[in-house]
Amino acid sequence: MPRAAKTILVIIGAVLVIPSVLAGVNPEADRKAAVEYFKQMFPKVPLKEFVNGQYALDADRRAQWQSLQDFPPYEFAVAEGKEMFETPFANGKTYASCFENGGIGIRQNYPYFDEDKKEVITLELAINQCREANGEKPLKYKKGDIASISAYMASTSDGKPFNIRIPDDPAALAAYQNGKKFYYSRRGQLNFSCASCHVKNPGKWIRADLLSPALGQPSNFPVHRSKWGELGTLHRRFAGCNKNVRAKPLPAQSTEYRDLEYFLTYMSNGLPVVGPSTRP
Amino acid sequence: MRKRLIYVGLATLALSAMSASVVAASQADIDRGKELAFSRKDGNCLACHKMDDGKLTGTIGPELANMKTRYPDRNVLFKRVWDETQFNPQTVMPPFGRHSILSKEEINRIIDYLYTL
Amino acid sequence: MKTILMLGLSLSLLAPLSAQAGAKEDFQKIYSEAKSTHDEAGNFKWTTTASRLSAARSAADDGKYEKAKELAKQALQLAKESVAQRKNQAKVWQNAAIGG
Ligand code: HEC
Ligand code: HEC
Repeated sequence: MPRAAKTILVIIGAVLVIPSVLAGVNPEADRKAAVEYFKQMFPKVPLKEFVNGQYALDADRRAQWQSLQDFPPYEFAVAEGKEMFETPFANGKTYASCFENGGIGIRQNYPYFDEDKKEVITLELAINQCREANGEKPLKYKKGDIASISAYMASTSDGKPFNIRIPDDPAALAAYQNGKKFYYSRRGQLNFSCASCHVKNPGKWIRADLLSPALGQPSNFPVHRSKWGELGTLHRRFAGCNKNVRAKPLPAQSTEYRDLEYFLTYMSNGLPVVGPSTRP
Repeated sequence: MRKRLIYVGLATLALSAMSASVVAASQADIDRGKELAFSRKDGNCLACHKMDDGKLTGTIGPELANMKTRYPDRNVLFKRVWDETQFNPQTVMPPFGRHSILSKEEINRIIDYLYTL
Repeated sequence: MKTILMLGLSLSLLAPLSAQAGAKEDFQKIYSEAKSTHDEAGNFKWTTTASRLSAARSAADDGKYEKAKELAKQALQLAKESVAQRKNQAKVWQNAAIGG
């Protein structure tokens, strides 16, 4: 077969393997449209303020919140997280050995898409993979030690802009699209999508709760909630929001929740890391 | 014997006339309706609607008031509570009837109550 | 005559038992349909379906098959609605999405 014909066949083949559902998927266009959407909804809120969720939208709540920032309730957990982070495993190595730049100042790059494994790697998943690679047992994903370690790592990245990348790989695009689909699909007996509350109704009250916008939503995690009385991870919050609409939550770090985090954090690209933080 | 038949006949007539819109709701029906509308595990209408003397009401939906004037046809009101997505596919109001969140009977009690607003 | 009487007696004794057996079979049939429908909902399962299913299971474990059957029926109804939701959302989710 002539070389040109062969090349053409290869090109056709490559085009064919891209699933048709991915045609027209454009994360950067989505992100820009979302920024525009929320800017129009809240013209007085500076873009970077969106990382403060409900506190960006309501002066009274914000004042209350700020008055409590002198003694943040997560301080002790962050110190514990630091200690665990620096304490060597049984084999003598530390967490630093598993991460770029020794794990300091890297929160803004998570989650990322691993092109070898073809899956989304969140910070909490990477922490447990590091443990297992060094012969340690994995930690539980929603609270406790993992939240403390993740909070410490976030604190070393304070203010760095999120920089979530979607590599030129159909599997990465598919993961993004899967997360987006999760965010916009109605679930549960009460028939809500994440977007029903956090895209359509941010700034409104649902009973005594003030709804935060999708933009900036993951940047303050892990979070200390007064309702929890402790730190919790983003996936703990996902599960809570699913349960509230009577949808069966998925396991923390399931593919669905990791893809969801990938989509949601991508939307916040350019906004600063502010975790850990506090919420009601 | 004949008398009894007549009674039965009358009773059937009365029953068939009791198609929801005609019969006035009793105070007990109305109280039950309010309870269902306010309770978090049932209607939880206050999560989104200001209504009556409800406390800590949400701001997602419009205030529910003047129901008699605005909904002269009980059927229309019933259908909206049953499944608002039929009227507005993008609404966030849960389809209370279609998703079995409330039974037909429960929705009717809530509507008895709504008509007092 | 005597045998007929005996037969009648034993039949009447059996009757409640067989009614019970009928309820048990009904329950099992509805319960397994509810469970497979619930599974078909994939990641669109409802917590309310799950709790009706487990309530049905424990009623059955206590031998209360009529009650178990009723709960399984409710679970089946909810499960069907969750499957309908899953199918419908696969078609319409993008209508509400920023960027389409
Ligand atoms: C019925 C409304 C509702 C739905 C649906 C809902 N949430 Fe929430 N969510 C809330 C409320 C209320 C809060 C607490 C107030 C706030 O911060 O928005 C919250 C908080 C959050 C937060 C924390 C925000 C912060 O600033 O710390 C995240 C993240 C979140 N939701 C994600 C999701 C995701 C993802 C989904 C879909 C799986 C979802 N939510 C669905 C009501 C909802
Ligand atoms: C999650 C929020 C939410 C909940 C909970 C809710 N609604 Fe609504 N409701 C809305 C919204 C939003 C509208 C505006 C119409 C639309 O979205 O299509 C609405 C509209 C209505 C309307 C028509 C509006 C009018 O004034 O003509 C009625 C009637 C109504 N709701 C009754 C109820 C009742 C009764 C309950 C409780 C059983 C309830 N709603 C619970 C959000 C909600």
